[in-house]
Order: sequence, then structure tokens, then C-alpha cells
Amino acid sequence: MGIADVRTGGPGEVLAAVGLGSCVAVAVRDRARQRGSLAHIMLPQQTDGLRRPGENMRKYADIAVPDAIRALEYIGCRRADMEAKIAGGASIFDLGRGAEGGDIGRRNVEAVIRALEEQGIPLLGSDVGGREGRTVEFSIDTGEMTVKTVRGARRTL
Amino acid sequence: MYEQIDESRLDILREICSIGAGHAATALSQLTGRRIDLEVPRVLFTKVEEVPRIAGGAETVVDGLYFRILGDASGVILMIFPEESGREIVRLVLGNTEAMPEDALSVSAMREIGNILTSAFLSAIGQLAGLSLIPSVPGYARDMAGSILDLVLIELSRLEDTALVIETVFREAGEGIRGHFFLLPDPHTLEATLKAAERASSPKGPA
Repeated sequence: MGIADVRTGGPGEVLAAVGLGSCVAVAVRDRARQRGSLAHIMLPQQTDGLRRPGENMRKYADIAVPDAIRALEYIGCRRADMEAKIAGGASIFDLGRGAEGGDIGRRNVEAVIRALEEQGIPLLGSDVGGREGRTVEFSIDTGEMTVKTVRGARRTL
Repeated sequence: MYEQIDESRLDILREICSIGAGHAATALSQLTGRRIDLEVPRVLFTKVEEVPRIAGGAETVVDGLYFRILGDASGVILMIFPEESGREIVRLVLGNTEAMPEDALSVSAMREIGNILTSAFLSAIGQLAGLSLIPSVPGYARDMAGSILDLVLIELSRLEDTALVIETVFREAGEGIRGHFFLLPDPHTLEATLKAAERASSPKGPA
């Protein structure tokens, strides 16, 4: 799936987000119905509140997280059965203290956690921060989120 | 914000960047003692989601150097070398084959190369546009292209979902060094540069 996108999947499917730097992948799963969704967000929220023509609002955590949940509700899932896992939000470049954009990963993670709290979805696992990019695979069957880095690390949430 | 750029202005932009890239290639040739050629830059507008594909796919491992443009303008420069090319450049500069990727010496060599290329590029553009342009100290990372481009996409998408990408490919005869050079000026800087270049190319004023 692409950046600033939300996808849903059913039994047997694996959703993937590739090359996450400061971006965050948010996986939401209905444990009772074997359905899940994955969002790939870039920014915490829109700062000026204006909706520009044609703007892809799913790049924002505060839009994409509710969208990922609604997409599941639309196919018959129940909010009470949903749970979430997140990965990403790294600082790839050492831009020095106070550099603009340097803490965007951390702010993305905070915004995602806040959005999940607001939606009442429990966060079961996270692999966030650090200096390395991540590729994420999210199995709808098991709810497992596998996180890989270029240096061969492999973690399962 | 980029929509007022028509074909003729794209040509000017391409020309400015050809000059900049020419200077950068000369600097790299002098440094390495090898002839480094460059391809005529592509200037393209693309959806931000598509940018990682230009760099060979989001999962391709690359050496990335990230600069902020300082001085009379602002914007971002990102240089990306596929990992074999990154290693080859370090080898050419350090003159040895023992350097390991990501050891302190190699990283320092990469940063230095980036500085030389970017300074040459910016000073050429600056001269043309009458602006003083200086690169910041580079950030360096070796990682997936997607991760490295995140920061740039974020910069861009604050304003636009479309990126103006000026892509130059460096080639070294024989060894096949390839690199991508992304110049991402903020829209105001772009406008100022274009205006200055237009004035410079038509001394009697706007045609």
C-alpha cells in the first residue's frame, strides 16, 4: 500500500507498509471477525484546518485513524472488538537539536496514540522511534505485526 | 502553488539545474580523478506518494544525504545513491577497498562528497539567480529509500500533495556510479529563482 493510504483486508490477507521512516503504520483489527485495516500516516494533523481541493487527508493521523476504524465498521466490524498495533516514527537523519522536522516521528506517534485513545481502541503493541526505517507486515488472521529493518532486525508484535 | 509553471519556465528550471549539476559533476571529477558525467536533469511534478518509486522503490537500500538550503532561500536537497554506488564513491575518494559501509570514515567521506556536490550546485544556481545559497551540514543515513524520503515528503506535503522533483543522475564511465539529486525548493524560493533567471536571460526585461 502507499503512503497516506488506508487499506482493509479479510481472512488470509497480509497488509504491508514499506519503508516507514518518520511515518507511522497503524494496524486495527477486529479480533472476532478476522478483519483488519492498515493506515500509513505522515503527519500528526493539519495545522491550518483548511481542506484544499484534492488534498489527501489520510496523510494526517487525526483523519486516518478514525478512517481506518470506520472502514472496518463499514464491513460489519464492531468497535468493541477492535484493537491496534503501531510501528514507525523514527528519526532517520540526525538533524541536530531543535532542527525543524527532526521530531516529526515522535509527534506522529503521539498523535496516533491520542487518536486511538479518543476512538477507544486499545493499543496492544508498538515498535516506535529509533533511527531506523521499518517495513511492516500485518497478518489479518493472527493479528501479528512483523517489523523488519535493513540491518536484519525482525520483531513481532 | 506550482501550477503557474508552464513549459518555458520548466525549460529555464532545467537549464538552471543543468548548470548546477555540471558544476557539481566537475567538482566530483576533480575530487576523484575520474570523469563523472551527468544526465540532463528531469524536472517533474509528481504526486508525493510516487516519489519513492523514482528512487528505485521504497525498499531499495540507499545512502541518503539531506541538506537544508540556507541563505537567501530555503528548501531541501536530498542526494540518494544506491548502496553499491555509495560504496564505489567512498572507494574512489578514500582510494581503498577496505572501507566498510557505515564505518566512521566512510560516513565522513559520504558527507564530504555531499558537501562538495551541493555547494557546487548551489553556488552555480545562486550566481545565476543573484542569491546567496549555502547548504547546511548534511544529515546522513543508510536505509530504505522510502524511510529516507519520508522527511522530504513531509516537508512538501505541508503545502502540497504534488512534489516538484529535479532529478539529476550522475554517471561515472565504466564504474556505473548512479545517484539521484532531488532539489525541493519551497515555492517562494522557486519563484524568486525563476524570476531572477528570467531577468538574467533577457536583460531588456520580460519578453
